[in-house]
Amino acid sequence: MWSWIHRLGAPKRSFFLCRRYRPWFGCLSFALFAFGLYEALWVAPPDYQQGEVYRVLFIHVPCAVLSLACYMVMTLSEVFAYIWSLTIAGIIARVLAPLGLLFTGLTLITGSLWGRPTWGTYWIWDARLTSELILGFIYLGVIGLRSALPKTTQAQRIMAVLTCIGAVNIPIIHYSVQWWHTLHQGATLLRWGTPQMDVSMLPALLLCLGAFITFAIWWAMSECERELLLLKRDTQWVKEWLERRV
Amino acid sequence: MSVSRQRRIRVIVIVFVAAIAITALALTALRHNINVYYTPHELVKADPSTTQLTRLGGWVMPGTVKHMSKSTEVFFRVTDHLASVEVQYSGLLPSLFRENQGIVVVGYWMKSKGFRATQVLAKHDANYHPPGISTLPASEKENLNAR
Repeated sequence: MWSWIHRLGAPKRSFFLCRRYRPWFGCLSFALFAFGLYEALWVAPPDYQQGEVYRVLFIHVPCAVLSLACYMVMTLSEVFAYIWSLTIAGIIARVLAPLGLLFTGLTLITGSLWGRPTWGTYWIWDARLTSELILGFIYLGVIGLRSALPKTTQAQRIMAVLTCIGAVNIPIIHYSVQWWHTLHQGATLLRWGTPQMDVSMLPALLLCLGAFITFAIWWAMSECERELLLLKRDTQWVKEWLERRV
Repeated sequence: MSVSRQRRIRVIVIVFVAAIAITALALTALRHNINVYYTPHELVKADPSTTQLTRLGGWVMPGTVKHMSKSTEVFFRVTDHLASVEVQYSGLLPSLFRENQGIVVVGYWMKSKGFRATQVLAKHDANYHPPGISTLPASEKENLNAR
């Protein structure tokens, strides 16, 4: 199994895998988002309590889910890169940090725009909002530290240890609404039992979630391609590939 | 498995466990301070000073909302089904404000004179469905009947 992973994770192999499958993810993301937005803005009925304004959720929830998911995948890749010295895992971890920061920022912005008309305030220092803000700072720290460190095994170890420490925040964000009194409501989708959402609204949310996930994969693949080309710019296969392009 | 690889796995496991343990200890120590509001029951027990900005959260008790004529002043009780606290507020109420709605009020605990609010925030739940009771999930219907 390990030899299989190493073969798949070989820079040349991963580069051409990305080249081949990236357009599919791009098209899929675009189609899902177009369909999802149509469902979210026209098909889904207004909410019994919040009226039309609840539609922010169709953007807010996928962003929030992905801000957490990016961190989890980043931590796993970082650990893989450190323990098994996988080049591609290190690259995945590197490209996911700015993406996660983007989703965290979008979560905070859409959340506060939703909070003003429903709660009556843009911001409150409750456990959910504060822990999500801390996630943003952790992403900033990871990005800053990584760009400050040279690309050595020592640096790899520091990054692996620090992302692991930051990962403790992920369950805190998820369970904050259960552990403490917060203004933020509980989980709708990621909970045990049936989702607390009517079936007429659920397709829009799932389509948007799918669109954001495929977008994240598309983005990560395109960034990986760039990083792999930069890393392997002196090898024969990169030179050949570039010549064929010109 | 090589020795260096075993060592690296050990490093990651130790760091991870230590980080979880430290955070758990810190959060346990802070558990009362992280709550963004007191429930009425907790507020009466904690009894904060009248000059300390406090937040009180709970449900608007049905039948207790009194609007004063010719002013924006409003009185209502906030309850957590264990205790209830009289709240006085002057200003615009959020559109979600109504009886049985979960709210958080920001202001000062004036002891026997109740709670003087400077801001009223509305909570909303994690249930989303179109207007009309027929589409409610069964568990939600039970909740409504219980009220």
